[in-house]
Amino acid sequence: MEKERADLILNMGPQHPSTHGVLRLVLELKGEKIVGADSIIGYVHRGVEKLAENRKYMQILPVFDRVDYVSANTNELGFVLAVEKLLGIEDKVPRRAQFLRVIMAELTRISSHLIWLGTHALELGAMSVFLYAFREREKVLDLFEEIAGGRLHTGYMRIGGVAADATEKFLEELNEFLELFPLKLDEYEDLLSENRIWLSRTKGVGIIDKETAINWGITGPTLRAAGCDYDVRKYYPYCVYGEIDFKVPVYHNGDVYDRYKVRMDEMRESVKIIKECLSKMPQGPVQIEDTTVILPPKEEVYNTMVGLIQHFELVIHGLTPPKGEVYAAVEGPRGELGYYIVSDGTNKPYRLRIRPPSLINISILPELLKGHYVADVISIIGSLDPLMGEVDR
Amino acid sequence: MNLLKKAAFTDLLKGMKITLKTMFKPTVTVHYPFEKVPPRKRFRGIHALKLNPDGSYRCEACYLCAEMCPSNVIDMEMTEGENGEKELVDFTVDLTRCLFCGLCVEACPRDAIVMTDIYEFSQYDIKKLVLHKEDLLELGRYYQKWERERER
Repeated sequence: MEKERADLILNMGPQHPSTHGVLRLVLELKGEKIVGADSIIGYVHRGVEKLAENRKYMQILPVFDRVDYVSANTNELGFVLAVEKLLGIEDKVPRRAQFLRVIMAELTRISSHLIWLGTHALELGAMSVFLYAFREREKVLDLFEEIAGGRLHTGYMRIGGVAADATEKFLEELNEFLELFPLKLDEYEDLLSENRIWLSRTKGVGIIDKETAINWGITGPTLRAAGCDYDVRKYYPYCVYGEIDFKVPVYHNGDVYDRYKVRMDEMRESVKIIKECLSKMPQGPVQIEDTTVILPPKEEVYNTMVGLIQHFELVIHGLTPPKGEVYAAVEGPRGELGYYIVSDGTNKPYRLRIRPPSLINISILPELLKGHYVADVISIIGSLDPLMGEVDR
Repeated sequence: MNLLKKAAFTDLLKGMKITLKTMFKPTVTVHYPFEKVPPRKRFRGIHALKLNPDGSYRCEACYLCAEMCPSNVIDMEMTEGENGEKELVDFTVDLTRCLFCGLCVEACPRDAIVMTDIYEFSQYDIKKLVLHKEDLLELGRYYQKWERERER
């Protein structure tokens, strides 16, 4: 097929407010219609993978908080799981820590989807949803601050457990939030789901069918909106997801509206998962009892010689996994977030590769945008929910 | 039926009902520079160095925090003291590079370096963002006062 000739070439971004960061699109227009598109990325490249090669395993964690900067916990969780797999200790991590990890991961999913909902609705002209979504997100961030000490960059996961046990106040506030949040979700749905402006901006726009989605390697809510039920939590359960009963929302049209519906349903499922975790969570330690993996408890370090020596050993030499390579994936808010580590037996990874769901999801953009109007570009980019920090890494 | 619904603007009215209801609810906005939310107990603000009750340094210049730091924020200088022990001469924390991950606090074997609840530390001069021993000890006095109040 011969390519249609463009009348106008339009640069969209990298400073455009609705490109979710610094995505630059070069649109070839014929009138209002897009006949060709090109996406240019790399504006926030920070060399995270290279940085990881020069750091000890324990030091890498805070760096990975910054890869996908609105869902730090799932980023950390993926890396931690990969290193634990490499060390062969994934079964020895205490149960309470596993439950806490799942709770934090699901809270992260909620906070990330709330950002997406707020900004996506704002881009399509619904101002109040933005304000409401950020109101509830603030509560999640307060929860993070209570349990981990950081609001965005939590730094809560550790190789072999979590940093600290949940406080009483955290559990109390979490229960309050879980009671309140489904009502708020109903509010958002009342505002958007039937709104005629919202429907006309989203229904039938940016359709990705199942086959195309699978061929492009798309994962996450975008894939599930296209009718495929692939979810890492169900297919390759990690932590305690195998024991928890939850549904994976699937829709079949694959348009912007279905992606919105999938994410809304996912938030409801997250609430259910957290509730089930809270009811099943046992008491006990939150860190593995192996001082070659995790720092010994502070009392031992302050008071005993053995503890002090182990502490020095681990901080100075770091943990040394055996030679080998490993891949571990988690279901991040944007899709399958994978970590591939090659270890050469030293205390630093030889090579570390991240499978960024955002990058793979937006790689379909040039194909997808063809034939749409300029106004739809914003709604399509928003519905794919790319995060440029993760795309460029 | 559908047409009737469309003509009656039920979808828009439903949304407006929510916005109208929210209008009469108390506001949740915190007017930041005038009102402040106190940080939580585990919050990680800027660093401080604690002192022993007798006024001597807790830090023994063991370099573990500098070793643990992912972005080389911490540096220290030491000398031989009167009894042949290590003595701290200077301790610098470069806040321009700090990630506030809290790994230095975890690495400290003497509970000497801690993180305060201070999150407002912008400066016009970048050199002032490099904290030296005196600044850190001053912050440490603040921290220890705050710590005592917190435990009460």
